[in-house]
Formats: sequence, structure tokens, C-alpha cells
Amino acid sequence: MSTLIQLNDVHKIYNMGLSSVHALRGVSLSISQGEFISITGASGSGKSTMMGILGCLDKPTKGEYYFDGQPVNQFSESQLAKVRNQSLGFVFQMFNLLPRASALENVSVPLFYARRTRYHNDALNALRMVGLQDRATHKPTELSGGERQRIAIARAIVNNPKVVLADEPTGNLDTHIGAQIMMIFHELNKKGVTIVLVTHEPDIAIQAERIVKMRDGKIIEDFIVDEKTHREALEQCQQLAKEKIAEE
Amino acid sequence: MFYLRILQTAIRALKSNALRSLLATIGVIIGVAAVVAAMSIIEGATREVLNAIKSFGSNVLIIYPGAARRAGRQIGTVNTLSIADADAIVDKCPAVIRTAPEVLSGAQVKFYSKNMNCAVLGTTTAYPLIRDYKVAEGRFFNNSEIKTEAYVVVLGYKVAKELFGRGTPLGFVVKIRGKPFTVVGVMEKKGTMGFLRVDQQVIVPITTAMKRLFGFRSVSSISAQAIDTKSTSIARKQIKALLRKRHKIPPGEKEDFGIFSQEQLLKGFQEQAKIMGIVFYSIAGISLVVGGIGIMNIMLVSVTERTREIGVRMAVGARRFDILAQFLAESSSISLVGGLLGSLLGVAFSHIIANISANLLKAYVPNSAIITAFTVAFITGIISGLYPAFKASQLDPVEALRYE
Ligand SMILES: Nc1ncnc2c1ncn2[C@@H]1O[C@H](COP(=O)(O)OP(=O)(O)O)[C@@H](O)[C@H]1O
Ligand SMILES: [Mg+2]
Repeated sequence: MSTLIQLNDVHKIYNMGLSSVHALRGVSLSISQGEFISITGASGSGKSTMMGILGCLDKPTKGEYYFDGQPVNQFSESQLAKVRNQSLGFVFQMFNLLPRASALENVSVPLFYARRTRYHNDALNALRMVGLQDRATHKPTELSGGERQRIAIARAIVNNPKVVLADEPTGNLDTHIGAQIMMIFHELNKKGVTIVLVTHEPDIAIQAERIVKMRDGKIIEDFIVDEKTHREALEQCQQLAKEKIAEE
Repeated sequence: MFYLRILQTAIRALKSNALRSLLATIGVIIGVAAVVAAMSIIEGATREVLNAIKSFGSNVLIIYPGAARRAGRQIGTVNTLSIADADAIVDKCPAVIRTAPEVLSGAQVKFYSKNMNCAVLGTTTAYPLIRDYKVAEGRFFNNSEIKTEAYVVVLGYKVAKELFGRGTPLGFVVKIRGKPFTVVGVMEKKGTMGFLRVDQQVIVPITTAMKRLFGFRSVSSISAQAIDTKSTSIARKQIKALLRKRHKIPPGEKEDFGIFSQEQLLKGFQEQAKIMGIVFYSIAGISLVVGGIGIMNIMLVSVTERTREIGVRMAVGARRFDILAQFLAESSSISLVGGLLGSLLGVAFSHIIANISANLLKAYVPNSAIITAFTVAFITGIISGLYPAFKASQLDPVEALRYE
């Protein structure tokens, strides 16, 4: 499979007046098209910082980043915006929906910045993918946490991105709801979308094919989850998700 | 299309904070209201003055008395013009075809139990010709009645209506200052002439007015008609030279009279309008600056409050310019609403001023006032939104997303 993401010896230093924080200390990572990868590590180990760089929201202090073969370091601001809009999808722990906009409008935002003139159908399709087409006109405040996160996923995938970057997407949700969210990621991955998932829950991390462990701004482990463990975790997740549906 | 949607988004954001947006725009409302009111009052007054000037005739000059002076010192009061001056002007000034000496005072006009406070004008038969003011019923008094100081009167339109209702006043006797005057005519309805409400005036022979009614020894003014509009400035020079000679004013001394013409009236008015304009536009300027600062303040608050939203928008593909456009759309929408409300308030305000002035001032809202109001509001919005919008567009997306 072709390499989609390539980090070469990436450093990130935050300068805060006198002191500075070395958040990433030489990270090299290669992710292929269609992979499902978990990133784990203690709080403050640099996971979110790395996601910011992968998501073209932030630039490395040092080191190279190639996305789909293109050198991101050399991108202009508007090229970066375009990559974020067309090729990347973000899912955050805090959902980050626009509070005044309806579900459908929230999902439409990336289409809006893509300068698309019509976006009702695509937005509705994305909502259908996460099973919330009947909540299209609801405001985020009228939805549960799980539903909000599903809206956020619909927003992330509405432009058919190559990668979905999810930073602790289940961190604010209970286990059952989290399992439902995970099922959506698995489905997306089956359709060929690359998933990069930050989590510190081991049960969730092992649902990926590959796990990257970080500590103090470095990758300390990078391994393929063995077939059996991976499959068992997936089944357990499926089970949990179903239980919840049965409950309702 | 894209920018239309940006505008929609902006309007929604403002609506969700309607009260705050409204408060932010008060300065703009007041500023725009001042602009609209100023332009309306000035326009209304201009029209009024132009009408007044037109009604008084473009080739008419008014000679009015000034203080008599000798060697720079005032030695007399304003009793410097006489009937003889009026006659001399017609005789000696070739550019003048006729003159009417005038005395003006107020008195109560009575017809049995009805009475009315009127302006009483004493003049000659030249007056209706100079002013193009016609008799509607009966006749004007004649020269022999002037010579004999006869007790005859011509009523203004409203005076006749007030005292006689629908019946004809001709031949009836009204009392002016207790003296009996026979009504010989009623003037046509004219409204105002110059700034006088001639419909509420009665006209008597000048000799009667001076000797029998008021005991005046000089006239209040002399109306002079030039041959045509072009000749007014020549007529003015001839009159000036003649009266200086007749009043024995040495060269270099100031005249003891003044000559008033349409141009001068216009000039005087324009001075007034300028002062009024400066006052109003200063209020407008200050309010708009205050309003602009208000909007800037609210926009800065809004940018801070919505830092996270800005981060999200950037994460899903908004360019810096898109964010800039969004906040500029908000600030200009706020101020355009201010422009709209300010225009309404300004129109209302100009009518209130007109009412308070007892219709001395009239309000007329020109299209240019509304266009100016909206332009000014829009520019205020853009300028005051520029810094907050720029600040929003320059946020670091990662920082913005971490913002609590
Ligand atoms: N904008 C920033 N300014 C200063 N320090 C930062 C900033 N972002 C992250 N850091 C620091 O960098 C380190 C890594 O943070 P982060 O990537 O958020 O870790 P994680 O997501 O793994 O918890 C932490 O020590 C954090 O305090
Ligand atoms: Mg983190």
C-alpha cells in the first residue's frame, strides 16, 4: 500500500517566554493508505501535538512532513486550508460543534468552505452514514453526547477525506456509546478511509491494526496488534454497541 | 454565493446576541440620525427659502433703513427712509420701473364681536404689481384714496375668512385700532410671501397708515422693481448712489440704509445653513466615532468568545480570509442595522424639529441623506470591524482549539 503520511524526525518546541516545552523530540512515523492506527501514551506525551501537525494545523519546529507525497512544510496558508478541507477530517474529544447551527448545518460547514454551492444532499448523506438523518434540524444542545460526536464524525467525512484524525473521540462518552462511535470508525476504515485515533483506553487501542506508544515526545513502541487480539476486541466492541441498542 | 452565505452566518450570529448588537450600534444610530436630520432640515429650509425668494420676485429689491451716522458715530435711529425717497427712485433710476413704500405694524382688526390680530401694511398701488399679488374680490385702493388718506382697507384672504366667513366683506366697515375702515377688496390666497404670511395681513393706503393709524414719520421699507432680473444689480447701484446723495452721506461713510435682494437673502441663508451643518455634522462625527469604538469593542469580545469556533472553522478548511470576511460581515451588518434605525430616527427627529419650530423650519428628506447615512454606517462598520476581524483571522488554529 502507498504511504499517505510520512513524518521524518519531527520536533516541536513551544516557546513560552523564558522556558520552552519540547513537546515532540524527533518523531518519525509512516502511515499507509487505509490503515487503522491507535496512538497511546500518558497525558502530556505529545499525542495532540503530533495530531496537530498531522492535521496541518501546526508546523513542526524541525523535521519533515509529507502528506500523500507532498512536502507540507512548503505549503502556503491557503494550500494548508485546502488540504484540511479536502483530505483531512477531524474529530475532537469536545465535539466542537457550532452551537447555533443545526446538525445539518454543522455537517455542511466543510462543504461551505469548499465553496460548494449545493450541499444539502451530501450533508444529509454524511448524516445517514452515522445514522442521524432524522436529527438533521436539531441543534447540538438538543442532542446527547454520543449523537453530538456522531454529528462531528459526519462533519469530518462529508468531503470524503483520505484520513480521519480523531483525538480521544470517546474520552467524554460512556463505554457503550464509545463502542458505537468506534463501530462507525471501523465502518469508515472498511471503506478505505485511513483512521488515526488517539486514545488512552487499552480496550479501544487494541481495536486498531497498529499501535503507536508515545512517551515524552518520542515514539517508544510501534507494533502490529496480533490478529487474534484485534479480532476479539472488535467483537467485544460490536457486542457492547449492540447491548446499548437493545437497551433503547 | 459564498459571500451571501457568509452574510447569512453573520446575521445569525448577531441575532443570537440581539440586545448586545443593538447596544453596540447606538452610537451609529445617533450618528446616522444626526446626519439624516441635518440633511433633511437643511434641505427643507433650503426649499422653503428658495420658495420664499421666488414668491418675492427675482427682480425685486428691498430697501430698508439703517441707523444714521456721522463720522462713524450713530446719531439717529432707523427713521431714514421716506415716501419721497421712493418717488425719487422711480424718477431718477432708469433701471427701476416702480417702487412701493411700505410701513408695517400690527393691530387688532375688529368686525363686531369678531376680531383678529393682523399685520397692517400701509403701501401704495404699486405694491400688488411689484409683488404680483392680485385682488380676488372687489378692488385695490386707488391714488386718490391715498391722497385723501381715506379709511379704506383691502383684507388678506384669511382675514376675510375669519371675520366674514362665507359672506362678502365688501362695503362693510371693520375697525382697526378703533378707527372705521371700509372694506374695498379681498386679496387672493397666497400663503407666504418672503417670510410674511400675507393672508393674515390687511392693506391700507400708506398715508392713512402713517398719519392716522400709527403716527410714523418714516417708512419701514421700500420695495423697488427692476426692469428685469438681469438689471437688479444695476438698479441696486443706481439706488445706492441716489440715496447717498439724497441723504447727504459723504464718500467713505457707511450708508444709513441697506438694499436687500434675492442673492443676498440666499447668501445669508447659506451662512446659516453652514453653521447648522457644522453643528449637526460635529454631533454626527463624534457619535460615529463613539459608535465605531462600540462596535469594535463588541467585535473584540465576540472574537474572544468564539475563539474555539474560529479554530474549528479553520480545522475544517476555512482560510484566514474567510474568517476575516465573516467578522467584517458581522460588523458591517451591525452598523447597517444602525444605519437603518438611525435613518428612521433621523427622519422622525427632523419632523419633530420642524414641529417644535412651529413650521418655521420644514423637514424634507432627500434621497442623498439616506444614501449618505448607509454609506457612512457601512464604512464605520468596516473600519471598526477591521482590527477584530484581522485578529480573528490571525489566530493559531491549534491554540484556538485548545482555548477554554
Ligand atoms: N500551545 C502550547 N504551548 C505550550 N505548551 C504546550 C502547548 N501545547 C502543548 N504543550 C505542551 O506540550 C506537551 C505535550 O502536550 P500534548 O501534545 O497536548 O500532550 P497529550 O495530547 O499527549 O496529552 C505538554 O507538556 C503540553 O503542556
Ligand atoms: Mg491531548
